Amino acid sequence: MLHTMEPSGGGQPRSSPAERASRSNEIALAEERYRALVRNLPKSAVILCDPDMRFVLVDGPEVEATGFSKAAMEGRTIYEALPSEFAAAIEGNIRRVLSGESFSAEVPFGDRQYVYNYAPIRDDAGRITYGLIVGTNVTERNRAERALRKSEEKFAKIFQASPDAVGVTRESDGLLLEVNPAFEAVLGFSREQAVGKTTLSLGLWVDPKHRSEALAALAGTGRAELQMPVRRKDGFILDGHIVLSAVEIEGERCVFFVFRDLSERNRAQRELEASEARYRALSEATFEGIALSDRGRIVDANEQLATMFGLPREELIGTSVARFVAPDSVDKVREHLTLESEEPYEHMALRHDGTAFPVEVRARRAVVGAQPYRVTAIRDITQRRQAEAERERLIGELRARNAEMEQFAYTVSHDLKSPLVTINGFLGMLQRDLADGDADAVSSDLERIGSAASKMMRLLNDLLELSRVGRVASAWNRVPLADVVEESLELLSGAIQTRNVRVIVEPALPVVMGDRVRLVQVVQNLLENAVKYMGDQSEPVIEIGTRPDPSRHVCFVRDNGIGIKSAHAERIFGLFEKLDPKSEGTGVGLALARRILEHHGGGIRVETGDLGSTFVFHLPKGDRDKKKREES
Amino acid sequence: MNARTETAGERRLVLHVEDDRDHAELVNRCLSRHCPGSRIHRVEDGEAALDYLEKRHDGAERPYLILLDLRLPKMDGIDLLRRVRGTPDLSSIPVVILTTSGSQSDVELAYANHANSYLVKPDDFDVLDEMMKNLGEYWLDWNVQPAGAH
Repeated sequence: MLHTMEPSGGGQPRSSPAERASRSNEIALAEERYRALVRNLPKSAVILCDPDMRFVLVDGPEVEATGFSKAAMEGRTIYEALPSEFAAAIEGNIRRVLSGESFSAEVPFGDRQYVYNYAPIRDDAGRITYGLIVGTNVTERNRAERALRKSEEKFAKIFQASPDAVGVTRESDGLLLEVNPAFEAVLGFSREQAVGKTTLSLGLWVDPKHRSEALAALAGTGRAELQMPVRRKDGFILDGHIVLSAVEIEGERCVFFVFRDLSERNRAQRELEASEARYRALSEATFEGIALSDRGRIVDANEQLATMFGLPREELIGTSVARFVAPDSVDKVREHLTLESEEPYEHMALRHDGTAFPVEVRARRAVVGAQPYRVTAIRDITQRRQAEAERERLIGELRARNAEMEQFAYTVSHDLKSPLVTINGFLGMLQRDLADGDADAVSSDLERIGSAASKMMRLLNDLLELSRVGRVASAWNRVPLADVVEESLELLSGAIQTRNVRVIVEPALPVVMGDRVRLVQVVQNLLENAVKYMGDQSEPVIEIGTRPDPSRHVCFVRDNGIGIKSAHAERIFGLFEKLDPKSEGTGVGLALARRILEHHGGGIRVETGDLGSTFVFHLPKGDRDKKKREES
Repeated sequence: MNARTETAGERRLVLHVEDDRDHAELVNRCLSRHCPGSRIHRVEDGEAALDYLEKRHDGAERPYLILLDLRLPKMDGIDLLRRVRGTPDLSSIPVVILTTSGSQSDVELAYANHANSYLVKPDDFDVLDEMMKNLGEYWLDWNVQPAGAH
């Protein structure tokens, strides 16, 4: 364009003065327009140099902006107009353009950056007349470009370095436009194998439907996040986590994707879950309740513990340990907690319903993920305690039986020896009396010997009878006590009539479980005693009745005879014990009665009072003792 | 020394606590034969014995010896022994246990309650006879008691 500004050469056609005037006017106008144009070229300077490297024209806003002036430069050579260093720097370029080369060069000026476009201007003959230099200040543009480049570089690096498979597909057909190196590492296809192919043709989708689903998810917001299985090049199915973004690239709808393989994580997760399930199964299989606690609060527990405390497992968690400790064990438990003791110990625990039960506890410190916990195994020892108590009871019973045996042996030896002393003693006396010829004494001696022998026989019979109780199997039946009383009264009818005793029997006597013959022995013995110790009572009365008791049958035989001193209330049940040595019998009756009743699971005692005695005996209700009997 | 001479002719009293009629008769006959100077008062149980001893001021004679069986109705021998030893007026009376029981626990219990001697009734008559002879001689003839007691 500047070409037209060249002074007209000889090649131009001649013209009239009017034409010339008009033409010169036109030229002036055009020049004016070009000047205005050049002056307003943004961030630019337009310079013409003649072959002497003299500035012919200098214009444009950038001239003033760099501290030069059109006036100071035009008509001067570069060395005259410019600082020598700068002049030296550009001299080569100016020479180049003046030698006919068109080129661009970037030249810094101070902190500014300029792009200079150099173009030679030739006359019609083709000679170079000027060098045109259009300088544009590109400082800012360069800065923006650099920033963009940097940013692009950064993104490219991220794209390249991402461990997730990242890429772009064309939305219309799923054609892969770009993928990163991780794409190969994760999905097995190299960039060359992938780019230019569709995701469907690579078989990435386990089910082609998945692609439509993914696009449908993307449709709304232009963004989607999916959990989806994806097939690797080798056919292995990966658990994918896919993030999709709709993007437009060069006017085409595309999808930017980030694919992460969760298979490993999921596998680890599944393994963790399996391991946890195994441990839970382990803890559920124990008989012990197990709790994991943190500073006195239950963090986890097994079902056994929940069952033990009578609370759902979920409710157990988060509860304070103290809630399950009986008040009198609180101090003990707190001490173990404070000392972090790992010694097993026992204490009373509390169920949700407030009932207490004994437990054995063993705790350990455990660190789970850097967090210290207390693992406590709790065992319900109710049964053990019961067994211990039962054992103690049995030992006690055995001791009592042993003592009883000892007493029995002692009594037997003493009481059996007694008639022997008599027999042998009077045999000696007999000899002496025979020698003396004392007939009366002989007869008396013989009588005593005979009586002692009979007594011994009676003792032996009674002992035998006593030993048979519980040893000889007998019929165990439902026995109406009314029948027992009736039979006993019949057996004693003679004595009762002789002594003129009035007998009152309560009509509603219970039916008990037991050995009828033995029970008759008991009642008969009690009635016999009552008649025997009536004393000089003028109106002898014997009452037979029952007393109310929720748990057992309680019966009594009451008389209004001589009674018993309370001091002897227990002694009378001893073997061969007699309060009156002159009384008939061996003193085995009450011992026998007690033994029979105890064997029935019952017992007997005597109540002493101002008038007469009341023998009170009890028998169990129900079949409980039948079982006990069968066991023995 | 001359204890026997001093006491000769005195009819010394033995309180025999024995529930067995026949045993009492045997002891009585043996003791009377060897110690003609002795008399025996028999009671059948501890209560009767205590009753006798406590009523002594009403004229009952203080026994020179208590011959005591252990197994007795109402109050047994050991209980009576305790009562005797616990009563200042009676505590110096010699008590000889005569029983069928040779049980160690009875022997220990008797001495623990300050019995003077423990004899087991023999089932051989000659032994019994000899025992009663010695018993009479020792406790009734030779043994000396505090003068004020009688």
